[in-house]
Amino acid sequence: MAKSADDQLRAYNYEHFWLKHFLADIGRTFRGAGVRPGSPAPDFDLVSTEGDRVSLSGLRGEIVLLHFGSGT
Amino acid sequence: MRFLDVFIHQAHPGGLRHHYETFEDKLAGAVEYKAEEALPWPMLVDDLAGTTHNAYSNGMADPVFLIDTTGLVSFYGMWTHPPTLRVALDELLARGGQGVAVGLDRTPHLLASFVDGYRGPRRGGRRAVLEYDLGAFGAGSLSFIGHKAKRLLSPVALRSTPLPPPTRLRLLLGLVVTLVLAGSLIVLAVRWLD
Repeated sequence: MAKSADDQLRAYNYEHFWLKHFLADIGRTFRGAGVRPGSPAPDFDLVSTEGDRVSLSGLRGEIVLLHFGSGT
Repeated sequence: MRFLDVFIHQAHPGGLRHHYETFEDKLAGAVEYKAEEALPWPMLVDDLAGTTHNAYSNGMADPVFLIDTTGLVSFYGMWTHPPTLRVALDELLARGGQGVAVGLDRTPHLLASFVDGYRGPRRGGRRAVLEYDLGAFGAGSLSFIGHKAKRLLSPVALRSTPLPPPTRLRLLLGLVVTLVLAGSLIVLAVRWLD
């Protein structure tokens, strides 16, 4: 059964780091989950810590290095 | 070239840093993180559902992408590894900023994370470190040890360029010799105890 939006939100913003989270990353690694090289990069329009809005489509023509990271 | 960081969920929530419940919490966390790490590049904040994080990597813990000048993914490092990223970037620049460079790197590069990654769970607090230990086969303790041995290990673990092949060979030989010596010592100790 598909998860509700609230369940997905809770699952993404989990309260505790468990083995299942580590194993999920290992599973994704085996599957090569994510956008494959050669595919179009999904557009985004996000706010920065300085309050600016940055979209990928607005950076067309430039090489973009995009890293995802957590504070903890 | 643009260098962008996208702030994701709390990977190791704990007593000092809780999971995010509102976007405002997350934005405040990103502002604090950028200041603490003195990051010079823009820090973008994903929405609470992790829409961009999931769209790119299905929620990987520490992924990195190179996007070429036409908007195509050129390189995807599932576990960010600066030397491999450097090789991919050099290759992409040599191609005039277009095309696939290196492609998909799915090697779990954990050494750098253990040597320089303790600050993350430590920000979460003791519970965050303990859960990292319990949830990832002692990774909390390994990252604590790596943190303490950072000065010793950083020339190998925190390089931004690949090790030259002769150095890799020497390191591999050193590892094999160390394992053989350790195994021999264990065998000798067991025999002595008998």
